[in-house]
Amino acid sequence: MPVVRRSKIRRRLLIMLVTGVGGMAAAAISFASAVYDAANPAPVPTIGKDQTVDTGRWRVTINGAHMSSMPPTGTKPFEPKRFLVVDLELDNRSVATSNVFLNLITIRDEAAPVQPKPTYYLARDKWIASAINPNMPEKLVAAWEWPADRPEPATLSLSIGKQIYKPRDNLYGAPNWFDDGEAAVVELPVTQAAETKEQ
Amino acid sequence: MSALRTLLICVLAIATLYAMRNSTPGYGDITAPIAIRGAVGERVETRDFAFGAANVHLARQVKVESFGRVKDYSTSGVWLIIEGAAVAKTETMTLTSADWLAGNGLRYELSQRFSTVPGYLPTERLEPGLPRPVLLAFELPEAAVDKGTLLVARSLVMPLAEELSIALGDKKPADIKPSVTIARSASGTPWTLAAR
Amino acid sequence: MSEKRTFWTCLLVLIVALPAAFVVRAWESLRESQWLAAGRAEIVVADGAPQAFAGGQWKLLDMRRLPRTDDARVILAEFEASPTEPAILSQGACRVRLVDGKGRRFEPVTLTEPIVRKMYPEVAERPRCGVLAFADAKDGAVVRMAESFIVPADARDLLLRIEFPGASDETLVFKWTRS
Repeated sequence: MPVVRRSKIRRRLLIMLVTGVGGMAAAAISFASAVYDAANPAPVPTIGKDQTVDTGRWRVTINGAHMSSMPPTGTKPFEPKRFLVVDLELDNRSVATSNVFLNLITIRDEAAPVQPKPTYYLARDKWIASAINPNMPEKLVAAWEWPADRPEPATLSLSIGKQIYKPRDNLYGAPNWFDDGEAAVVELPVTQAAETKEQ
Repeated sequence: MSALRTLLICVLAIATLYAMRNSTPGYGDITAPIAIRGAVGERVETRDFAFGAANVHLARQVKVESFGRVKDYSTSGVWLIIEGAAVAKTETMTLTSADWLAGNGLRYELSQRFSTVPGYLPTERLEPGLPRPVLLAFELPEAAVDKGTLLVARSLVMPLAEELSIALGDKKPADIKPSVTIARSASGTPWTLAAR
Repeated sequence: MSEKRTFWTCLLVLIVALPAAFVVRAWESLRESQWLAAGRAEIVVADGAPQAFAGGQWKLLDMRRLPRTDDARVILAEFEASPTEPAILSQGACRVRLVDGKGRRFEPVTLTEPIVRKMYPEVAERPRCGVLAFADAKDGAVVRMAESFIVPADARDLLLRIEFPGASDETLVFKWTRS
């Protein structure tokens, strides 16, 4: 091993010290900001009806809510039932047809309805909606079967989910959409049963 | 001088790494299906199956006659209906994935509203060596029909499988019919298609 | 040891170790891959001879060719299994395929073809090969099964392949040269 001069060793030590401290500082700042963000989440905006929410993948507009004794198909159920019907508009902003909107909207409530997921119908021909195409905004009707033992609500609070796109996910490096909390909360009044809404 | 050189090397290294990072194909690109090109009106072959699109129709509304009942299917765009034939070559299979790739890169999946129509592609079981007439329907904005391509594959989740890419070319129908009726048929093709 | 010698030794070890690491990592995938598995044991049985397989004695009773349309035929295969070890039989999942001379593989149809119901109603009643068929069988009783296939009229040299993953690693291949 050749003899290294003292000044050279000192210089190397200095470089190691500077890079070490720099790296540690970067890690600390990144960690601290992550902790800070988790402790202070950005507040979710609360909006009213007829306002468009941009959730990244979807543009959602809630147009109104009412109680009804009839499902949107217009066929009276065998046993009398009540439905919470929400009119909405969806625009798929992603590159491909998708049916993920089925999990997008949930009722914010302490006691969730018996049937947590609504059935979606196309407003234009009353068929069950399957998937929404990009660049083709659709008017939809979501219907929750309202439990018989619960009073009809006067107001409704809907939580609208958000998804973000990752060109490379952390597992495979594959492109995909991932759930990312709430985009907005929509508060709107519920108009009471329009009983004679025959079609 | 030496400092400048070090800086230059650093910048060059960063630029090279950045370029490499951006040009690395992602998992989606590496496992993408292998495209086999063809055109409407010809039989297109893969190793496992063959498919040919024969007639293309455009309509504002589709009526489906089934057991005496008529169901109306509307669209906010236009219905694109393709009549064709498919045959399996090596084993019994079902072609479960069909997409319409518009000229601007948007992908429209096969409409899921016709599962009861006879001969509808994802419900049709294909036996090797026995060609079957098949029907496909898409809901599209009008602008997506031009320069569009039909993509047909066995499954969407099979990496590196073969996928047909059938160009519409100049086979676009001249007019959009106000309504098309699909009914069951007892002989020949399992359906009849009539424009009203 | 001199520095030079260490260097060359390390390089040599690397040349051996890298391919070895690759083979070890890919071993499972290689074993499952098609072209290595192609030579997996097949028990080939001719014309209705009984054969021990997956905890039972198997026998192909008949393979009938029935008309369907101009270019298609229905193949009705009848076979039986008398359980020798019912525990093994009820473990596996039966997988039946019909293979023709060109190597095309046909899956059995799920709905009984009308022609089978009309010409051989008692065969149409038989269960398809599966866990249910063996669960219902009494101890030691012979289980008679039937599967039907739709094949092109030109399909020749048919083989019935029965796989029983879970109960046996082998494949039972019935040849049928009569009819």
